[in-house]
Amino acid sequence: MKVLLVDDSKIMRNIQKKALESIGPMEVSEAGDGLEALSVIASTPGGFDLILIDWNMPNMDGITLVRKIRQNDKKTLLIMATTEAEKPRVLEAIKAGVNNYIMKPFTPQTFVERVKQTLEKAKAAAAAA
Amino acid sequence: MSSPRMDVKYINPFIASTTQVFKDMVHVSIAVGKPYVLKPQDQSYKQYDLSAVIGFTGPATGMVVLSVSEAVILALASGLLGVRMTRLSDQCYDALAELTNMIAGGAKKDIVADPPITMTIPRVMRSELVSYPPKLPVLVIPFQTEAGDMALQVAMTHQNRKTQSPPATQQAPAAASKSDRKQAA
Repeated sequence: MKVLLVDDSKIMRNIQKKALESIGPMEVSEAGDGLEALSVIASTPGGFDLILIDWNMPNMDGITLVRKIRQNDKKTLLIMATTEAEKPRVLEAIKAGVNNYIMKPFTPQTFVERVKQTLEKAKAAAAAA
Repeated sequence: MSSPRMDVKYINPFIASTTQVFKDMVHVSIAVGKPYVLKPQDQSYKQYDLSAVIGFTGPATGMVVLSVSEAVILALASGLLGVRMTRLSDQCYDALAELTNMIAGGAKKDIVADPPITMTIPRVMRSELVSYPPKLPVLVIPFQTEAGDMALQVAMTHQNRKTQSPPATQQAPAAASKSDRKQAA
């Protein structure tokens, strides 16, 4: 599975990467902001299966990135992983097209559960289609 | 000159958020000390060697600063990464910024949830004093960790909450900027 981690904190990307490794083999790429993420996506043949996106980042924030991705890609699984915990923010992200929402701080267990939940839901939806 | 009044409504959200961040992600024990208000002459202030600053805009304005010593940030970064850090590095500055980001994010939702407060990108300051908005009381919440002391400094005001009386002035953050997550020399 190909995963892209988008967060301006390298330490947060490392934490997420370590947690993802407990799920199974993954090919993980990283980007420090929305603009860099778009560039990484464009230069990755076949794109990504899952993208985890922070909200507050320089150059291009996470919600803008979600909207840009969803303009022509409804398939890639998107999870917002952010400190933005208010209900209006969560609703805004869902409306923009995220599949799930993880609030920081999180325990590795919570993070892994949310990612697995997202993958299983997508698998069930694909099987039902 | 009389001391500025402490705006107690900001204490609990920041204590709760800091405690939660340490429990979930840092794995370093922490105890809270007795909060106090900075004297007006200390509006330019540096408590410990390193500080991360985040500004608030929207329904509440102001700033929050996490101030730590070198020993404390080494312990906190080690806890976050799960790897022992022995010297200051970009990872330590990144850890300080991200911790401040999570503490501020967790607290702001309990201060004004709708519309949400907007946060700036964290800015790490190494040598210079932090300048707080003039006339806005700066609340200091001291914490003790197993690696030493640290402090959260909060200067905030908002007018949306009916049950709470806002401080006398409303002022945009002076030190925080919407610049990239970065460190000042």
